[in-house]
Amino acid sequence: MESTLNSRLFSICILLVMFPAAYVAFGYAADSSWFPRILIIFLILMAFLLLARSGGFKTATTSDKPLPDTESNDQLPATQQSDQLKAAGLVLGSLIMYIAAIKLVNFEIASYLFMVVSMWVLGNRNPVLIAIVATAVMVLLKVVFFIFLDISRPSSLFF
Amino acid sequence: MIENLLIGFTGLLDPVMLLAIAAGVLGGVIIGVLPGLTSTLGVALLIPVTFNMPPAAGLAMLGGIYVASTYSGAITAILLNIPGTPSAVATLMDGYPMANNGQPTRALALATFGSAIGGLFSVAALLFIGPPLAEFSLRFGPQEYFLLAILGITVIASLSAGAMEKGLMAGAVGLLISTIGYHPLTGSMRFTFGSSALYDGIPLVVTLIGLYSIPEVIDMIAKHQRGEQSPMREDSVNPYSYLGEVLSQKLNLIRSSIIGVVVGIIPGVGSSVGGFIAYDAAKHASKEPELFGKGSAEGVLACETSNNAVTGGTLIPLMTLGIPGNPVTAVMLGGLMIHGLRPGAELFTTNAAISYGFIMSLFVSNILLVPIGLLVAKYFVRVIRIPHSILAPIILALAFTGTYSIRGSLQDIVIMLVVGAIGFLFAYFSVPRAPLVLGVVLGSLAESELARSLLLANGEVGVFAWQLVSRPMSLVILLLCIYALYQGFVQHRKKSKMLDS
Repeated sequence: MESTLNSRLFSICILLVMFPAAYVAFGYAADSSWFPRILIIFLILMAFLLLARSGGFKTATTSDKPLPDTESNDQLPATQQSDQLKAAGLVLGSLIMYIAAIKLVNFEIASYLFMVVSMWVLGNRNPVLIAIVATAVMVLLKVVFFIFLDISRPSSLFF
Repeated sequence: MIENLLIGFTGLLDPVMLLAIAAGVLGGVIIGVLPGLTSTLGVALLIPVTFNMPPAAGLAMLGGIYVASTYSGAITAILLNIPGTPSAVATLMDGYPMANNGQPTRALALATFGSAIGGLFSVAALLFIGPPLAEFSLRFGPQEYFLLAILGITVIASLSAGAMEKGLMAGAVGLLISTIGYHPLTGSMRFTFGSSALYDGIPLVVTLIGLYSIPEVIDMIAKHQRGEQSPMREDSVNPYSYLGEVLSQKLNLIRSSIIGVVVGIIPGVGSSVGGFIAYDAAKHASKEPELFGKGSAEGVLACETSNNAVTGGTLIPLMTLGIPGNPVTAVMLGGLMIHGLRPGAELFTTNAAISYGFIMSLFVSNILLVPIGLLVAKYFVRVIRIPHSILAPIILALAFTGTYSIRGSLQDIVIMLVVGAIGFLFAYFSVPRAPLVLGVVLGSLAESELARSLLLANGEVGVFAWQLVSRPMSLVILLLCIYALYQGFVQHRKKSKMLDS
């Protein structure tokens, strides 16, 4: 049942993305966009097929069930999907704030703060450990990427 | 030839040469483990270091980096389910489950020994049959390239057995992602929405980091918040004890090595494709195909043997014809020319001492890969002891900085986030991610070669179709595609019946 719902939701997500993509793709010149057009049409048809197969026309089919032997690396191992959604929000939100912090302050301070805040939010309450790990990671990143590999630091507003 | 081999061998006796090889292998292992750093970057950054070294030692170091960094992406793939390099994507399908089943050392040992054996095989191919293989690669036209891309894409059917619709859709999404950026022939921009970061498409490494790192970290945090522990445990087994198991799979090793060499000599295809094709071939040939995806030793060996066999294969057209097969060998071509060496017949005659010394050094690199790779892996395994509340932020910071380091652009981070969101949704809806990676890798090759083939056929589909069946090599590849698709559907039906019962 749960996997049937998953398949339906996945099909709907694909359709929600592919219809606007089709609008964009069909706006390009034909000789440059026939390949994406074919792919988008294929995806829309497959989404409808998956929706039909999981939409109650028959009982959940074997192809709807997540199969450990092909998807053991890919399906969510956690059973509580709301935890996954909360964790996803936390991760994506923290990375957006990391980018903003780098643009506003500088890479080193933003990286340090990112590590400190992340570990704190995830339940670490040992300030010495947090400080050591945050410092070590920040130094490692700076030395490996910006000194040894000589990659230019991201520009920021102040430093 | 024997004299040249002896000259090359005597070059190895120079301590500077051996030190350069060891430094290259160690550097390559570390580069492959860090997300965002690739063989290309490692070789490009260390070319200036070789300026003050004797040419043979400089090239030996670059060769060591190439070989070792191709292998070491498997370390993070096995322990963290995050491929360190594109070539390790196929390895995580069985490497990570094997590690999760309490055998991380076995998985790492199989990957290390397989990589070394595949690398040695490919260097032997370079040494003894390099020129005829290079001539063979010249016969590949756009039609053959297109069909090779299709062959790679047909692996999607096999990877998706049991969940065919979702797997095919994932592959199609990957192909669609590959169309972002300029059209390979007309130059028209597609799906860039005015963003200069998308003009060249989405870099493969950004796709890999986003697709695998973000969902893994999300899962770590979700488990941590529920108080769940990771099932992975260190084991204290001697990794060298698995050498017997590796050598008992001779057919798998030879088949995967041949696949890797053939994929390598064809410019533009890539080591990740070699890994997938070898994995698929091993699955079809296995007596226990149901174990694939659950921690099959054959699966791990096939991928890693093949992707390291690609390294020697890519050097064949480079050294004999001056045609680089991938970005790494393109950079190495620059390295060769900086040291005054011109690829081609001259490399093996006038500069025989240097070129044979380089080839012999590759043998040593592949042998040194075993102790150095296992030593680094032994310490890296301790990463699984780190609590998720510390490991998750570290992985995110590394992924963030690694992604930024590719093009020095924060916009790549945004792209990584979007791809990461796609990866999370795929995992949430139980959609396999490997087909998406294959689609991204092969999409631009398939589209550009199809467009070129149609151009050569004056746009006539009938003429193009006739060319596919009338050219001998095209016909062989076409038959392989049909066979691979057929096998994929057979497996899908078998799995479906199994679940029904």
